[in-house]
Amino acid sequence: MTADWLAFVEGAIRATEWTAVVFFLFVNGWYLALLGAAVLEMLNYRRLSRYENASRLLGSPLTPSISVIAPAHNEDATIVETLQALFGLHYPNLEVVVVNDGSHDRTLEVLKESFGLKSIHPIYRRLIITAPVRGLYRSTVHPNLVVVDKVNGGSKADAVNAGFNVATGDLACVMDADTLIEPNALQLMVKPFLRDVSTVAVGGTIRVVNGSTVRGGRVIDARVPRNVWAGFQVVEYLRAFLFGRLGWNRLGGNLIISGGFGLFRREAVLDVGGYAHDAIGEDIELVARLRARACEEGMPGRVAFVPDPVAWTEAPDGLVILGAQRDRWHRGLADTLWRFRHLLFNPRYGTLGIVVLPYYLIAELAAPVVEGAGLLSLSAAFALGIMNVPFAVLFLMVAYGLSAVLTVMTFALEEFTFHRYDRLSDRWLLLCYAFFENVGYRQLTVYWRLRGLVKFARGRNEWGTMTRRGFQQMPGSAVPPPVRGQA
Amino acid sequence: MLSSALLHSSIIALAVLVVAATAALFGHGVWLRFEAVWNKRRIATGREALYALMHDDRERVSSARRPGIALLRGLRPGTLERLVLSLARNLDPSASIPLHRVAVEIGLIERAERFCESRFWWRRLRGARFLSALGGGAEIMARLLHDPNPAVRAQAAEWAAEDPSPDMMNGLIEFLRHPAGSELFTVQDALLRAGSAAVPALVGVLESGSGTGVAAALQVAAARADPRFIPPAIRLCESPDPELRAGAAELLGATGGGEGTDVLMSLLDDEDPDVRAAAARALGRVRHWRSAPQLAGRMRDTSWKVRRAAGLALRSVGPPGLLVLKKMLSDQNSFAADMAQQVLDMPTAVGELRT
Repeated sequence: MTADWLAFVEGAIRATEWTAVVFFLFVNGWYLALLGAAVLEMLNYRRLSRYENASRLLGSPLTPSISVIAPAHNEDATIVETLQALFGLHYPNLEVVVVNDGSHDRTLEVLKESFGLKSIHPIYRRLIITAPVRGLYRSTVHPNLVVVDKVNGGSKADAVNAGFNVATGDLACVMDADTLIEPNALQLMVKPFLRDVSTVAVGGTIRVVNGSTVRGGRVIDARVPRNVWAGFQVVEYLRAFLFGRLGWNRLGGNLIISGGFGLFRREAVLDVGGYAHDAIGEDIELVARLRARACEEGMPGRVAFVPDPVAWTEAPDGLVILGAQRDRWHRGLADTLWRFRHLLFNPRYGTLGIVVLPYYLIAELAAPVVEGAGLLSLSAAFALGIMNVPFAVLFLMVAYGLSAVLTVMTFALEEFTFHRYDRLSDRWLLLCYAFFENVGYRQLTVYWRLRGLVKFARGRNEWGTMTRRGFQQMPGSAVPPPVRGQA
Repeated sequence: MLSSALLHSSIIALAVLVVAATAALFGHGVWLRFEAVWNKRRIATGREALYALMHDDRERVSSARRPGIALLRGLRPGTLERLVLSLARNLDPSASIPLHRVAVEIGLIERAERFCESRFWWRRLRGARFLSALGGGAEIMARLLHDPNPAVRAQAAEWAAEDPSPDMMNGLIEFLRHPAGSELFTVQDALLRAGSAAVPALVGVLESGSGTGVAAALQVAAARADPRFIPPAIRLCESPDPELRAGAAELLGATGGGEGTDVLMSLLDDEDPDVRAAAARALGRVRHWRSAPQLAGRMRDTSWKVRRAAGLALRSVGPPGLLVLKKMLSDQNSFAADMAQQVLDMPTAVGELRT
């Protein structure tokens, strides 16, 4: 009996290990392909941008109008500075729509005082159903500022949808009220729409602002954070944006536009009914829906990505909040894949059905399951004395070494293109984070993502809260001290 | 499947890659710092030499100009290009002639023209961008207007705005007619910046009355607002295509004058809501107060965008429109009354901004 049991356990461990090996080969093969595609895409992008005259866009009456939709929930400390930074964006035809999403603090009062808001009769075209709108306001100081005051709908999606109902621009930019946007961000983001009329959504690179110096709502000195958790996230963000999304851009498979900053063709979003109120990962869900509809109805549905760093966000620097965020991101992915399961391996949906969604299912959603099972089986094999230790060590070295290669290559890509981290000390720090993220941090992310999967299976979809520490200030900084807001 | 030997080799290969990438990461940073220090003085001296050459009005290359030219030629090509381009884009047209002359003398124009002949699209694009900023290369740029690469074609279109010959204008119009793969915005913008030289070609497209390119031409024409567009615009108001009728209405609103107002008023009863809204906007834009009763009727339209356009148009036409709006507050149609209320509530500048 004991011998049978041991044989069974050994067989299971061997099967798990070989699954992990096959998975490793598949995923890393994809990663290498994405890195190659990202390098080609970056080269192409740089060639297209070299010596380009940006002033043409600024001076033309034909430049498409953009409505920036900024949902604000209890943002009375930051909202004025955020809006002042928005009005300072280098774009000629801009409307700003602030959605006060049932704030309990003085957000609306601060807006009224600072921008001379005048109440107007609250009627609007209700193309997307949202929580009730209590009032509409126009600014007497900035004629292009609209404020929507609404009852909290329980999600950012609801607030953004209310903004879509009121916005009038050809394009709509969705952002978080606490995102710092580069002054030329909209000029860069609008280009894919001008180059290709079938473009419906454009995302840009978002970087971690922790540790950097901010003045007047602008990042004036980009630094790598000294806090290890934020530091690991800098590495992750660089990898995700510079080789993940850029690579997918080349392969025509972009699926994620960060909720923190994205630009959409407004009519296209209205046609699909806006953000899904009940989605956990509403940003990925919207892009998937836009692309799916394009395939179903033969409509335009190109989703593009701009590699320039266009926005900065504050990353959680504590384990609890970071864990909650990763857990929610993974639930969001699971939720989206579940909603679009009929697209999986469906040739009618082209690249989306055959390549992109299967990739997200296998390489992203299942990754923590396989990696977790692999780590457990290694531990079990070691405990039972059936592990080929030298081989296992070699394999782990290859696995983590390949991860380090991909990361360092991404750093090199950043260095040769945007070169935002100027100091040698920052580069050393980045390298340290890249090597040490595999020891402890990576395993934690596996745990958080597994927790997310379990919660999804149980039907729990809470968002959690994000505690913000605020940005490192310079004299004259327009960015205020810590606030609490939605993550 | 995986032998230890293979894993060993993989580890060595990965270690080599990591070391190489790390060396590149740090090496590039160090090089940039070194270059910044090393180039700083050379750029400053080069800039002074460039200014001096631009202000030296001797017609031919004299011995006095040679040191300056030699100094500029001694700069790295990339540095020299950036230096000249940064200046070119900030100069008024009168100063661009001496800069072009210097660019010819130091060989930049020749280099750009050589790039335009390259078999690599990115080099042709680089050359075309240089010639767009500094002028010259008419013959080459006319050829690039038919380049296989859309970015190169778009750049040639941008260049065409600075040299609006009839041939180039016709080339741009061809883009409007066959926009697939080209940057439509660049072509439209180039036609707009070409000024009155582009008007005959645009009138030709509008006269054709149908086919691809007419809607795009209407957008350019509305931004240009030349009175020569009025007759074809009036004809296009009867087009079977609602997109063209709406575009023609916008164009009539932009050009102003009284010729098109009767047609615009008739378009208020068009079957397509986009056309009705465009007609209302146009009447508001030309401040046609006589159409206030018809606009008031459109305040009861079933389409939100028509009601809104009519309300804002009434506000634009001045006191008669405001009077109508105030009367609409007690209208039996609650949609009309609501819209009138919102339009009257708006701060003064809003209606001017977005109609």
